[in-house]
Amino acid sequence: MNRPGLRPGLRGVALLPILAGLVVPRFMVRRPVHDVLVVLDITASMNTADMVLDGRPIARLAVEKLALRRLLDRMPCGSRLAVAVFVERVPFLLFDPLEICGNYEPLRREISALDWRMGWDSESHIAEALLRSMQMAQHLGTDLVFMTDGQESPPLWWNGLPKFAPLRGSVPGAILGLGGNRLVPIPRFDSQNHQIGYYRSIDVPSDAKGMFAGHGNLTAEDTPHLRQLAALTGLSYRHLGTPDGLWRSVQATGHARRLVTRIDAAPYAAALALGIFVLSFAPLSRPARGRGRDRS
Amino acid sequence: MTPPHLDHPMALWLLALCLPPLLGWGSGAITVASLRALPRDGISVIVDGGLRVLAALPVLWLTLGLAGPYRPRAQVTRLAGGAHVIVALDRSLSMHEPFALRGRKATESKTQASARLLAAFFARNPHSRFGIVGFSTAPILIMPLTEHRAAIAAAIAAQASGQLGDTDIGSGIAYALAMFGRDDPAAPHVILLITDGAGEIPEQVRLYLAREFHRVHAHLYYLYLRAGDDPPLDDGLVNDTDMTHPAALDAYFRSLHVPYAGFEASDAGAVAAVTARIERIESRPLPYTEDVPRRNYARLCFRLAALFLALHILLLIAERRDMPAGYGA
Repeated sequence: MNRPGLRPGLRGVALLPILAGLVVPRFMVRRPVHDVLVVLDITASMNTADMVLDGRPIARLAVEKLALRRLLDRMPCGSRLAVAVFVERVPFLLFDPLEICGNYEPLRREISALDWRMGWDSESHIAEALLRSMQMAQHLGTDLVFMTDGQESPPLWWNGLPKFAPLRGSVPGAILGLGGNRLVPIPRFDSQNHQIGYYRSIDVPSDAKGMFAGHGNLTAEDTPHLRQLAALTGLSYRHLGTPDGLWRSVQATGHARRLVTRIDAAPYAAALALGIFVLSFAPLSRPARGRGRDRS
Repeated sequence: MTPPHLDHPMALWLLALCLPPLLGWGSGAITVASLRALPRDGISVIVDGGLRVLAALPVLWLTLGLAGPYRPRAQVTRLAGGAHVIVALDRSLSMHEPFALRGRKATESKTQASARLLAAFFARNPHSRFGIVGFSTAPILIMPLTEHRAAIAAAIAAQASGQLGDTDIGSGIAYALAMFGRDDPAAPHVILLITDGAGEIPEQVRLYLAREFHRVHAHLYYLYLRAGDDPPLDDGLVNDTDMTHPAALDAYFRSLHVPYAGFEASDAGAVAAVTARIERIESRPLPYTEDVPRRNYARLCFRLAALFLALHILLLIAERRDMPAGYGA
């Protein structure tokens, strides 16, 4: 026979999640975001167009900027980005860690304005700049990605590298190497950014060592040096082949911070209620005609 | 009023779920011998239609809520006093020296003092847009001209430590002027130079500055971080051609014939004085945008759904399902 109690009951059940969703409105979830300091090498050798993107040659600095832009686009909202540029032995911090989505527009313009002409010196002491970048990241409480071609200029002194031991392993992150694996000349630009030839051997110190021995005016990615620095610092080394590599390395080597976000439960509750309510209209309790007749 | 936007317009396909209640499915067939046994009743037809529509309303409102209706974040343009300010900030090595007023003990470097003064100035000018150019040997764009105050605050915070290279004031000011060259020409343009000293500006750069200052109509304020024994800004004895002296730089800026004032940061009121000058130059209010936050309507929809569902359930409970004698099968 008819069971009048079933449908009001089922529909009453549908009412419960809606009310629950409205009364207990939000629950917390933790989702991973990143806080990262990106340090860009803007020394002269970064103008060398010995990388390839979409089948065309592209300068190392341009790849750095594209990678940074890609990172800005890919990192989840709530992530914070700090950017420093380095020449000589000092990373220069442009701004403290800054939430990326709320400040997307000025960050995008800042990244596109990065230029080798911001450099205040022509030397590049990679290892020392890396040490100071680690200290900077430690101070800011961020991960570190250090982008460079690894070419020390002037070459390291006989006593070699700064002391990384106290900092070793204290900063999560990566060293990203840029540049080709063949020695090529370094282009030279004037203050208006027009190319005016290449560096000659008399323009650079003559005591180049390692892969640059006898070719101090030529450049390539100094991969052995970067691998050595990675081993000393506890950072991981990767070659930055495409602009995506920066975001991938932040994901792979960075330390994700769990950002607690509030999520509104009401839509989930409402979807559940909708399902239950609509199900209650399924012709479940319609009595079979035959049986109805039999029972009467 | 504009129609609300939807986060998930595809959810509107779920409106098809209104059909089962509208078609009266599952309304619990009453077993009667024959429909003909029931008299046709106009009022019953209307009531039945009303009940079906009522049964569909929870589906309608739940679906609309799931589609995520909202009024988007809007930007309202308001008018207020304010200017477009580009700060040309000295980041050279000399800024590493301690900063202290005459006769007092230094507790901070000039770099720290400059960041502190800049932060104070920034806080006093909530309606101005800011941009920051650092200069040492070369100008460095620290943050482009923006109304995003968090970005400027983060940039200022980063300037409290670290110094590099020489001092090229001319290139810093030239960079700031170039930024104004791409900016809204109607906005009041202000360059705030913060440095601990002065420096030679090459003739070629001077010509450029003179031309550009008038082209972009920029005002110039020179905040001189004068510590302990540094020479004063109003030193009448100085030879005007020696640009390494702050008083000579001050004289050069005056000779540009642009709205200009020089201040010694040792004056406690230097920040207030510059702020007051900027407030005065606003010939007319400057439009700035204010965010009106996004507003969601989903919860309103769910409340309506709950209301209609409750009503529907009450009517179901009130339903008489026992048939008058004689009609039952």
